Amino acid sequence: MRILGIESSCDESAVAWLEAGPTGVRKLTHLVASQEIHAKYGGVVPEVAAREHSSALPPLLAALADKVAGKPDGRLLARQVDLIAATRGPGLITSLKVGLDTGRALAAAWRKPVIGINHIEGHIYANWLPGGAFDKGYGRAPDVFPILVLVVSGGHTELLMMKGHGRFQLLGATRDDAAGEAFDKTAKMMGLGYPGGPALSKLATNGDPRKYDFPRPMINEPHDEFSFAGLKTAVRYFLRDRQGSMAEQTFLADTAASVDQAIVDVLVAKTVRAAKARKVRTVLLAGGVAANRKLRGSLAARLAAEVPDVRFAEPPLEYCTDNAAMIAAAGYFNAKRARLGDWVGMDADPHWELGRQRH
Amino acid sequence: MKKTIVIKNLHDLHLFAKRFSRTLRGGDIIGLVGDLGSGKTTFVQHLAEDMGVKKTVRSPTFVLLQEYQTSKEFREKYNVSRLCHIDAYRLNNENELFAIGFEDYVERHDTVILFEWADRIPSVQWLDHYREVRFDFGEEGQRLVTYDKKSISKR
Repeated sequence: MRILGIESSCDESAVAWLEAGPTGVRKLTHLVASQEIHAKYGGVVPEVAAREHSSALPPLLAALADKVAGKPDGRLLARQVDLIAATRGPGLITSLKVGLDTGRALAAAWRKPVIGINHIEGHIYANWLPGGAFDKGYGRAPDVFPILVLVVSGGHTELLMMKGHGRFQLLGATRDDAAGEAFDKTAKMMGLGYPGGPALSKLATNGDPRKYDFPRPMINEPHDEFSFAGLKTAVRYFLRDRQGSMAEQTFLADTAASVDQAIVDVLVAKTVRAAKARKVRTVLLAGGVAANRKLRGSLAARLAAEVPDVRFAEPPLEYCTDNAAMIAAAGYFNAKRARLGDWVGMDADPHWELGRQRH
Repeated sequence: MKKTIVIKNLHDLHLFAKRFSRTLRGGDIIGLVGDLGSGKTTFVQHLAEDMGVKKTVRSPTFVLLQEYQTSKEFREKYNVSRLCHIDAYRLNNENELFAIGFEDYVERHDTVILFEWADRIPSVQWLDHYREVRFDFGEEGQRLVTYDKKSISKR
Protein backbone atom coordinates (compact mmCIF):
# COMPACT_ATOMS: atom_id res chain seq x y z
CA MET A 1 0.00 0.00 0.00
CA ARG A 2 1.28 3.44 -0.94
CA ILE A 3 0.33 6.25 1.43
CA LEU A 4 0.63 10.03 1.28
CA GLY A 5 0.93 11.54 4.75
CA ILE A 6 0.23 15.18 5.66
CA GLU A 7 0.95 16.81 9.05
CA SER A 8 0.19 20.39 10.16
CA SER A 9 -1.20 20.12 13.69
CA CYS A 10 1.09 22.65 15.31
CA ASP A 11 4.26 24.36 14.14
CA GLU A 12 5.60 21.92 11.57
CA SER A 13 4.34 21.49 8.00
CA ALA A 14 5.31 18.06 6.70
CA VAL A 15 4.52 15.58 3.93
CA ALA A 16 5.62 12.00 3.38
CA TRP A 17 5.13 9.14 1.00
CA LEU A 18 5.68 5.55 1.96
CA GLU A 19 5.10 2.13 0.53
CA ALA A 20 4.40 -0.51 3.15
CA GLY A 21 3.28 -4.12 3.26
CA PRO A 22 3.26 -7.03 5.69
CA THR A 23 7.06 -7.06 5.80
CA GLY A 24 7.34 -3.38 6.69
CA VAL A 25 8.13 -0.11 4.97
CA ARG A 26 9.71 -0.72 1.58
CA LYS A 27 10.20 2.86 0.43
CA LEU A 28 9.93 6.13 2.32
CA THR A 29 10.38 9.81 1.48
CA HIS A 30 9.57 12.49 4.02
CA LEU A 31 9.94 16.27 4.05
CA VAL A 32 9.53 18.80 6.86
CA ALA A 33 9.32 22.55 6.37
CA SER A 34 10.74 23.68 9.69
CA GLN A 35 9.75 27.26 10.30
CA GLU A 36 13.17 28.59 11.06
CA ILE A 37 11.89 32.11 10.63
CA HIS A 38 10.25 31.71 14.04
CA ALA A 39 13.44 31.02 15.89
CA LYS A 40 14.72 34.29 14.51
CA TYR A 41 11.77 36.21 15.95
CA GLY A 42 11.88 34.52 19.34
CA GLY A 43 9.89 31.35 19.54
CA VAL A 44 7.14 29.77 17.58
CA VAL A 45 4.62 32.09 16.02
CA PRO A 46 1.38 30.17 15.63
CA GLU A 47 -0.47 32.63 13.45
CA VAL A 48 2.46 32.78 11.12
CA ALA A 49 2.54 29.00 11.44
CA ALA A 50 -1.11 28.66 10.37
CA ARG A 51 -0.38 30.87 7.41
CA GLU A 52 2.90 29.18 6.69
CA HIS A 53 1.25 25.77 6.55
CA SER A 54 -0.84 26.92 3.61
CA SER A 55 2.15 28.46 1.89
CA ALA A 56 4.53 25.61 2.79
CA LEU A 57 2.41 22.58 1.89
CA PRO A 58 2.06 23.05 -1.90
CA PRO A 59 5.83 23.40 -2.49
CA LEU A 60 6.41 20.45 -0.15
CA LEU A 61 3.98 18.35 -2.20
CA ALA A 62 5.69 19.43 -5.41
CA ALA A 63 9.06 18.43 -3.96
CA LEU A 64 7.58 15.12 -2.84
CA ALA A 65 6.15 14.44 -6.31
CA ASP A 66 9.56 15.20 -7.78
CA LYS A 67 11.23 12.68 -5.47
CA VAL A 68 8.59 9.97 -5.71
CA ALA A 69 7.41 10.26 -9.33
CA GLY A 70 10.41 11.95 -10.92
CA LYS A 71 8.62 15.21 -11.72
CA PRO A 72 6.91 17.91 -9.63
CA ASP A 73 3.63 16.84 -11.20
CA GLY A 74 0.60 16.16 -9.03
CA ARG A 75 -0.97 13.75 -11.49
CA LEU A 76 2.15 11.61 -11.53
CA LEU A 77 2.18 11.56 -7.74
CA ALA A 78 -1.51 10.60 -7.74
CA ARG A 79 -0.68 7.40 -9.62
CA GLN A 80 1.66 6.43 -6.80
CA VAL A 81 -0.87 6.92 -4.01
CA ASP A 82 -3.48 4.44 -2.73
CA LEU A 83 -4.45 6.26 0.46
CA ILE A 84 -4.13 9.79 1.86
CA ALA A 85 -3.54 10.13 5.62
CA ALA A 86 -3.77 13.59 7.22
CA THR A 87 -3.66 14.66 10.86
CA ARG A 88 -7.18 15.47 12.06
CA GLY A 89 -6.38 16.31 15.73
CA PRO A 90 -5.50 17.13 18.42
CA GLY A 91 -3.85 20.47 17.76
CA LEU A 92 -4.55 24.04 16.84
CA ILE A 93 -7.74 24.24 14.78
CA THR A 94 -6.45 26.77 12.26
CA SER A 95 -3.27 24.77 11.64
CA LEU A 96 -5.00 21.38 11.53
CA LYS A 97 -7.49 22.58 8.93
CA VAL A 98 -4.79 23.54 6.45
CA GLY A 99 -3.28 20.03 6.31
CA LEU A 100 -6.54 18.13 6.58
CA ASP A 101 -8.26 20.23 3.93
CA THR A 102 -5.27 19.74 1.63
CA GLY A 103 -5.70 15.98 2.05
CA ARG A 104 -9.44 16.22 1.47
CA ALA A 105 -9.03 18.29 -1.69
CA LEU A 106 -6.45 15.84 -3.08
CA ALA A 107 -8.76 12.93 -2.22
CA ALA A 108 -11.60 14.58 -4.12
CA ALA A 109 -9.46 15.48 -7.12
CA TRP A 110 -7.60 12.16 -7.27
CA ARG A 111 -10.59 10.01 -6.27
CA LYS A 112 -8.64 8.36 -3.47
CA PRO A 113 -9.68 7.43 0.08
CA VAL A 114 -8.56 9.85 2.79
CA ILE A 115 -8.29 9.13 6.49
CA GLY A 116 -7.98 11.49 9.46
CA ILE A 117 -5.20 10.47 11.84
CA ASN A 118 -4.78 11.22 15.53
CA HIS A 119 -1.49 13.08 15.97
CA ILE A 120 -0.58 11.13 19.13
CA GLU A 121 -1.27 7.82 17.40
CA GLY A 122 1.09 9.07 14.70
CA HIS A 123 3.85 9.63 17.28
CA ILE A 124 3.31 6.08 18.54
CA TYR A 125 3.62 4.64 15.02
CA ALA A 126 7.00 6.37 14.62
CA ASN A 127 8.19 3.16 16.30
CA TRP A 128 7.08 1.23 13.21
CA LEU A 129 9.19 3.38 10.86
CA PRO A 130 12.60 2.25 9.55
CA GLY A 131 15.08 2.06 12.42
CA GLY A 132 12.29 1.62 14.98
CA ALA A 133 11.78 -1.43 17.18
CA PHE A 134 8.82 -2.65 15.13
CA ASP A 135 9.87 -1.71 11.61
CA LYS A 136 9.27 -5.31 10.55
CA GLY A 137 6.08 -5.67 12.56
CA TYR A 138 3.59 -4.89 9.84
CA GLY A 139 2.14 -8.40 9.59
CA ARG A 140 0.50 -10.20 12.47
CA ALA A 141 2.61 -9.42 15.51
CA PRO A 142 0.47 -10.13 18.59
CA ASP A 143 3.54 -10.88 20.70
CA VAL A 144 4.27 -7.16 21.22
CA PHE A 145 0.90 -6.32 22.77
CA PRO A 146 -0.19 -5.14 25.24
CA ILE A 147 2.04 -2.09 25.02
CA LEU A 148 2.38 0.58 27.70
CA VAL A 149 2.93 3.90 25.90
CA LEU A 150 4.56 7.01 27.37
CA VAL A 151 3.86 10.05 25.19
CA VAL A 152 5.99 13.10 26.04
CA SER A 153 6.06 16.33 24.06
CA GLY A 154 5.62 20.08 24.40
CA GLY A 155 1.85 19.72 24.59
CA HIS A 156 1.35 16.18 25.94
CA THR A 157 2.41 13.93 28.78
CA GLU A 158 0.35 10.78 29.05
CA LEU A 159 0.41 7.07 29.70
CA LEU A 160 -1.70 4.89 27.43
CA MET A 161 -2.39 1.20 27.11
CA MET A 162 -2.25 -0.08 23.55
CA LYS A 163 -3.94 -3.47 23.37
CA GLY A 164 -3.64 -3.85 19.61
CA HIS A 165 -3.45 -1.73 16.48
CA GLY A 166 -5.89 1.15 16.91
CA ARG A 167 -6.95 -0.03 20.39
CA PHE A 168 -5.99 2.56 22.98
CA GLN A 169 -6.94 3.28 26.54
CA LEU A 170 -5.82 6.47 28.27
CA LEU A 171 -4.44 5.65 31.72
CA GLY A 172 -3.44 9.10 32.90
CA ALA A 173 -2.13 12.45 31.72
CA THR A 174 -0.64 15.61 33.16
CA ARG A 175 -2.94 17.66 35.34
CA ASP A 176 -1.33 20.96 34.36
CA ASP A 177 1.87 21.42 32.30
CA ALA A 178 3.32 18.90 29.84
CA ALA A 179 6.87 17.63 30.50
CA GLY A 180 8.12 19.34 27.34
CA GLU A 181 6.58 22.58 28.58
CA ALA A 182 8.38 22.16 31.92
CA PHE A 183 11.65 21.85 30.00
CA ASP A 184 10.83 24.89 27.84
CA LYS A 185 9.69 27.15 30.68
CA THR A 186 12.47 26.37 33.13
CA ALA A 187 14.89 26.92 30.25
CA LYS A 188 13.28 30.33 29.69
CA MET A 189 13.79 31.23 33.38
CA MET A 190 17.45 30.29 33.04
CA GLY A 191 17.81 32.66 30.10
CA LEU A 192 18.02 29.93 27.45
CA GLY A 193 15.22 31.40 25.32
CA TYR A 194 11.87 29.84 24.43
CA PRO A 195 11.32 27.05 23.62
CA GLY A 196 14.59 26.07 25.27
CA GLY A 197 14.00 22.43 26.20
CA PRO A 198 16.60 21.01 23.80
CA ALA A 199 19.09 23.74 24.84
CA LEU A 200 18.53 22.83 28.49
CA SER A 201 19.14 19.14 27.82
CA LYS A 202 22.30 20.00 25.90
CA LEU A 203 23.59 22.21 28.71
CA ALA A 204 22.70 19.43 31.16
CA THR A 205 25.22 17.03 29.63
CA ASN A 206 28.05 19.08 31.20
CA GLY A 207 26.43 19.37 34.61
CA ASP A 208 26.05 17.36 37.79
CA PRO A 209 22.47 16.00 37.90
CA ARG A 210 22.66 15.39 41.69
CA LYS A 211 23.97 18.85 42.58
CA TYR A 212 20.57 20.44 43.34
CA ASP A 213 17.46 18.73 44.56
CA PHE A 214 14.34 19.86 42.71
CA PRO A 215 10.87 18.54 43.53
CA ARG A 216 9.66 15.42 41.74
CA PRO A 217 5.88 15.97 41.78
CA MET A 218 3.66 12.90 42.31
CA ILE A 219 6.61 10.55 41.84
CA ASN A 220 5.44 8.08 44.47
CA GLU A 221 1.69 8.47 44.06
CA PRO A 222 -0.03 5.27 42.93
CA HIS A 223 -1.78 6.63 39.85
CA ASP A 224 -0.87 7.39 36.25
CA GLU A 225 -1.15 11.19 36.31
CA PHE A 226 1.56 13.81 36.24
CA SER A 227 2.02 17.39 37.44
CA PHE A 228 4.84 19.70 36.42
CA ALA A 229 3.47 23.17 37.24
CA GLY A 230 5.07 23.20 40.72
CA LEU A 231 8.53 22.62 39.27
CA LYS A 232 8.43 26.03 37.53
CA THR A 233 7.81 27.75 40.86
CA ALA A 234 10.57 25.76 42.57
CA VAL A 235 13.06 26.68 39.86
CA ARG A 236 11.96 30.30 40.04
CA TYR A 237 12.64 30.60 43.79
CA PHE A 238 15.88 28.65 43.41
CA LEU A 239 17.16 31.08 40.75
CA ARG A 240 15.92 34.16 42.61
CA ASP A 241 18.13 33.26 45.57
CA ARG A 242 21.17 32.72 43.34
CA GLN A 243 21.10 35.70 40.97
CA GLY A 244 24.83 36.20 41.53
CA SER A 245 25.63 32.84 39.97
CA MET A 246 23.56 33.27 36.83
CA ALA A 247 26.61 34.05 34.71
CA GLU A 248 28.58 31.00 35.85
CA GLN A 249 28.61 28.20 33.31
CA THR A 250 29.12 25.47 35.93
CA PHE A 251 26.15 26.73 37.93
CA LEU A 252 23.90 26.83 34.85
CA ALA A 253 25.04 23.38 33.71
CA ASP A 254 24.48 21.87 37.17
CA THR A 255 21.06 23.52 37.41
CA ALA A 256 20.08 22.31 33.93
CA ALA A 257 21.29 18.79 34.75
CA SER A 258 19.39 18.78 38.04
CA VAL A 259 16.15 20.00 36.42
CA ASP A 260 16.58 17.48 33.59
CA GLN A 261 17.10 14.73 36.17
CA ALA A 262 14.00 15.74 38.18
CA ILE A 263 11.71 15.64 35.14
CA VAL A 264 13.21 12.40 33.83
CA ASP A 265 13.00 10.75 37.28
CA VAL A 266 9.25 11.42 37.42
CA LEU A 267 8.62 10.16 33.87
CA VAL A 268 10.70 7.02 34.46
CA ALA A 269 9.31 6.21 37.92
CA LYS A 270 5.69 6.58 36.82
CA THR A 271 6.22 4.54 33.66
CA VAL A 272 8.03 1.73 35.48
CA ARG A 273 5.30 1.72 38.15
CA ALA A 274 2.59 1.48 35.50
CA ALA A 275 4.48 -1.31 33.71
CA LYS A 276 4.79 -3.31 36.94
CA ALA A 277 1.16 -2.77 37.90
CA ARG A 278 -0.13 -4.21 34.63
CA LYS A 279 0.71 -7.13 32.44
CA VAL A 280 2.53 -5.62 29.48
CA ARG A 281 4.91 -7.09 26.91
CA THR A 282 6.32 -3.79 25.75
CA VAL A 283 6.96 -0.26 27.00
CA LEU A 284 7.02 2.23 24.15
CA LEU A 285 8.26 5.82 24.13
CA ALA A 286 6.81 8.44 21.78
CA GLY A 287 6.74 12.21 21.17
CA GLY A 288 9.22 15.05 20.78
CA VAL A 289 10.76 14.63 24.26
CA ALA A 290 11.50 10.98 23.32
CA ALA A 291 14.63 12.48 21.74
CA ASN A 292 15.94 13.31 25.24
CA ARG A 293 18.92 10.98 25.73
CA LYS A 294 18.72 10.95 29.50
CA LEU A 295 15.08 9.86 29.29
CA ARG A 296 15.88 7.09 26.81
CA GLY A 297 18.85 5.83 28.79
CA SER A 298 17.23 5.97 32.24
CA LEU A 299 13.99 4.38 31.11
CA ALA A 300 15.81 1.54 29.34
CA ALA A 301 18.02 0.91 32.38
CA ARG A 302 15.23 0.99 34.97
CA LEU A 303 12.98 -1.27 32.89
CA ALA A 304 15.81 -3.76 32.36
CA ALA A 305 16.45 -3.84 36.11
CA GLU A 306 12.85 -4.00 37.33
CA VAL A 307 10.84 -5.70 34.57
CA PRO A 308 13.51 -7.58 32.55
CA ASP A 309 10.97 -9.51 30.46
CA VAL A 310 9.42 -6.33 29.12
CA ARG A 311 10.70 -5.07 25.80
CA PHE A 312 11.56 -1.37 25.49
CA ALA A 313 10.84 0.46 22.22
CA GLU A 314 12.04 3.96 21.42
CA PRO A 315 11.37 5.84 18.17
CA PRO A 316 14.24 6.60 15.76
CA LEU A 317 15.61 10.08 16.60
CA GLU A 318 14.74 11.27 13.11
CA TYR A 319 11.02 10.65 13.71
CA CYS A 320 10.62 11.96 17.30
CA THR A 321 9.57 15.48 16.39
CA ASP A 322 6.48 16.20 14.29
CA ASN A 323 6.67 14.62 10.84
CA ALA A 324 4.35 13.13 8.23
CA ALA A 325 6.05 9.72 7.90
CA MET A 326 4.53 8.71 11.25
CA ILE A 327 1.11 9.93 10.04
CA ALA A 328 1.45 7.79 6.90
CA ALA A 329 2.50 4.77 9.04
CA ALA A 330 -0.55 5.28 11.27
CA GLY A 331 -2.56 5.50 8.04
CA TYR A 332 -1.38 2.00 7.10
CA PHE A 333 -2.74 0.51 10.33
CA ASN A 334 -6.00 2.47 10.05
CA ALA A 335 -6.52 1.88 6.31
CA LYS A 336 -9.48 -0.42 6.89
CA ARG A 337 -11.54 2.52 8.18
CA ALA A 338 -10.98 4.59 5.03
CA ARG A 339 -13.80 4.94 2.52
CA LEU A 340 -13.95 6.69 -0.81
CA GLY A 341 -15.95 9.87 -0.39
CA ASP A 342 -15.04 10.35 3.27
CA TRP A 343 -13.50 13.67 2.28
CA VAL A 344 -16.96 15.25 2.11
CA GLY A 345 -17.92 15.37 5.77
CA MET A 346 -14.53 15.30 7.43
CA ASP A 347 -13.56 17.99 9.93
CA ALA A 348 -10.58 18.72 12.16
CA ASP A 349 -10.99 17.88 15.85
CA PRO A 350 -8.68 20.04 17.98
CA HIS A 351 -9.66 18.19 21.20
CA TRP A 352 -9.39 14.59 19.94
CA GLU A 353 -8.11 12.59 22.92
CA LEU A 354 -6.69 9.20 22.02
CA GLY A 355 -8.04 6.35 24.13
CA ARG A 356 -10.43 8.47 26.21
CA GLN A 357 -13.55 6.48 27.00
CA ARG A 358 -16.62 8.26 25.69
CA HIS A 359 -19.04 9.36 28.40
CA MET B 1 -9.91 51.14 42.63
CA LYS B 2 -7.35 48.36 42.79
CA LYS B 3 -7.27 45.98 45.68
CA THR B 4 -4.39 43.68 46.53
CA ILE B 5 -4.79 40.62 48.71
CA VAL B 6 -2.20 38.22 50.08
CA ILE B 7 -2.64 34.60 49.05
CA LYS B 8 -0.69 32.43 51.48
CA ASN B 9 -1.41 29.02 50.01
CA LEU B 10 -3.47 27.02 47.53
CA HIS B 11 -6.43 27.04 49.91
CA ASP B 12 -6.47 30.87 49.91
CA LEU B 13 -6.35 30.83 46.13
CA HIS B 14 -9.26 28.42 46.05
CA LEU B 15 -11.35 30.68 48.31
CA PHE B 16 -10.54 33.74 46.21
CA ALA B 17 -11.46 31.84 43.03
CA LYS B 18 -14.77 30.81 44.57
CA ARG B 19 -15.59 34.43 45.35
CA PHE B 20 -14.41 35.60 41.96
CA SER B 21 -16.33 32.95 40.01
CA ARG B 22 -19.62 34.33 41.36
CA THR B 23 -18.92 37.64 39.64
CA LEU B 24 -18.44 36.07 36.21
CA ARG B 25 -20.98 36.97 33.54
CA GLY B 26 -21.30 36.05 29.88
CA GLY B 27 -19.11 38.22 27.68
CA ASP B 28 -16.53 38.75 30.42
CA ILE B 29 -12.89 38.65 29.50
CA ILE B 30 -10.55 38.22 32.44
CA GLY B 31 -6.93 39.07 31.80
CA LEU B 32 -4.53 37.05 33.97
CA VAL B 33 -1.18 38.72 34.27
CA GLY B 34 1.93 37.48 36.07
CA ASP B 35 5.24 35.74 35.58
CA LEU B 36 5.90 32.03 34.92
CA GLY B 37 4.83 29.97 37.92
CA SER B 38 2.85 32.77 39.60
CA GLY B 39 -0.40 30.78 39.70
CA LYS B 40 -2.41 31.88 36.64
CA THR B 41 -3.24 28.39 35.38
CA THR B 42 -3.93 27.13 38.91
CA PHE B 43 -6.38 30.02 39.36
CA VAL B 44 -8.08 29.05 36.09
CA GLN B 45 -8.30 25.43 37.27
CA HIS B 46 -10.11 26.58 40.43
CA LEU B 47 -12.44 28.91 38.51
CA ALA B 48 -13.24 26.11 36.04
CA GLU B 49 -14.09 23.80 38.92
CA ASP B 50 -16.43 26.44 40.36
CA MET B 51 -18.06 26.77 36.94
CA GLY B 52 -18.69 23.04 36.87
CA VAL B 53 -16.17 22.17 34.16
CA LYS B 54 -15.70 18.37 34.20
CA LYS B 55 -12.60 18.07 32.04
CA THR B 56 -9.07 18.55 33.38
CA VAL B 57 -7.93 22.10 32.70
CA ARG B 58 -4.30 22.02 31.56
CA SER B 59 -1.86 24.73 30.59
CA PRO B 60 -2.87 25.96 27.13
CA THR B 61 0.58 27.32 26.28
CA PHE B 62 1.04 24.74 23.54
CA VAL B 63 -2.51 24.56 22.17
CA LEU B 64 -3.04 28.34 22.67
CA LEU B 65 -6.80 28.12 23.07
CA GLN B 66 -9.03 25.58 24.76
CA GLU B 67 -12.80 25.52 25.16
CA TYR B 68 -14.68 23.91 28.06
CA GLN B 69 -18.35 23.36 28.79
CA THR B 70 -19.71 24.57 32.13
CA SER B 71 -22.20 22.57 34.23
CA LYS B 72 -25.96 22.72 33.72
CA GLU B 73 -26.35 24.47 37.11
CA PHE B 74 -23.86 27.18 36.25
CA ARG B 75 -25.44 27.62 32.83
CA GLU B 76 -28.91 28.03 34.29
CA LYS B 77 -27.78 30.38 37.04
CA TYR B 78 -25.46 32.66 35.08
CA ASN B 79 -26.32 31.96 31.44
CA VAL B 80 -22.72 30.99 30.73
CA SER B 81 -22.21 27.69 28.92
CA ARG B 82 -18.64 28.04 27.66
CA LEU B 83 -15.31 28.76 29.25
CA CYS B 84 -12.60 29.81 26.82
CA HIS B 85 -9.05 29.49 28.16
CA ILE B 86 -6.45 31.40 26.15
CA ASP B 87 -2.70 31.61 26.65
CA ALA B 88 -0.88 34.38 24.80
CA TYR B 89 2.60 33.30 25.95
CA ARG B 90 3.51 32.24 22.40
CA LEU B 91 1.54 35.01 20.67
CA ASN B 92 3.07 38.26 19.51
CA ASN B 93 0.24 40.44 18.30
CA GLU B 94 -3.49 40.88 17.88
CA ASN B 95 -3.53 39.40 14.37
CA GLU B 96 -2.22 36.12 15.75
CA LEU B 97 -4.93 36.16 18.41
CA PHE B 98 -7.64 36.44 15.77
CA ALA B 99 -5.93 33.81 13.61
CA ILE B 100 -6.37 31.19 16.36
CA GLY B 101 -10.13 31.79 16.46
CA PHE B 102 -10.55 34.49 19.13
CA GLU B 103 -13.51 36.03 17.29
CA ASP B 104 -15.54 32.86 17.93
CA TYR B 105 -15.46 33.60 21.66
CA VAL B 106 -15.06 37.33 22.29
CA GLU B 107 -18.08 39.32 23.47
CA ARG B 108 -20.38 36.30 23.34
CA HIS B 109 -23.08 36.40 26.01
CA ASP B 110 -22.73 32.65 26.68
CA THR B 111 -18.93 32.70 27.05
CA VAL B 112 -16.40 33.71 29.69
CA ILE B 113 -12.83 34.16 28.49
CA LEU B 114 -9.92 33.57 30.87
CA PHE B 115 -6.89 35.06 29.18
CA GLU B 116 -3.39 34.23 30.45
CA TRP B 117 -0.55 36.60 29.50
CA ALA B 118 -3.16 39.17 28.38
CA ASP B 119 -0.51 41.88 28.74
CA ARG B 120 1.26 40.47 25.67
CA ILE B 121 -1.66 41.71 23.55
CA PRO B 122 -2.24 45.18 25.07
CA SER B 123 -5.26 45.99 22.89
CA VAL B 124 -7.45 43.38 24.61
CA GLN B 125 -7.73 45.62 27.67
CA TRP B 126 -9.88 48.01 25.64
CA LEU B 127 -12.51 45.35 25.01
CA ASP B 128 -15.85 45.72 26.79
CA HIS B 129 -16.11 43.72 30.01
CA TYR B 130 -12.34 43.34 30.36
CA ARG B 131 -11.06 42.92 33.91
CA GLU B 132 -7.57 42.12 35.03
CA VAL B 133 -6.19 39.95 37.82
CA ARG B 134 -2.48 40.35 38.47
CA PHE B 135 -0.31 37.77 40.22
CA ASP B 136 2.91 38.85 41.91
CA PHE B 137 5.34 36.90 44.04
CA GLY B 138 5.29 37.79 47.75
CA GLU B 139 7.48 36.60 50.59
CA GLU B 140 7.97 32.92 51.37
CA GLY B 141 5.86 31.41 48.62
CA GLN B 142 3.02 33.89 49.04
CA ARG B 143 1.30 35.51 46.09
CA LEU B 144 -0.04 39.05 45.87
CA VAL B 145 -3.21 39.13 43.81
CA THR B 146 -4.39 42.49 42.53
CA TYR B 147 -7.78 43.09 40.98
CA ASP B 148 -10.25 45.88 40.37
CA LYS B 149 -12.29 46.10 43.54
CA LYS B 150 -15.27 47.71 41.84
CA SER B 151 -15.54 44.94 39.29
CA ILE B 152 -15.88 42.27 41.94
CA SER B 153 -18.04 44.01 44.59
CA LYS B 154 -20.55 45.67 42.29
CA ARG B 155 -22.14 42.41 41.23
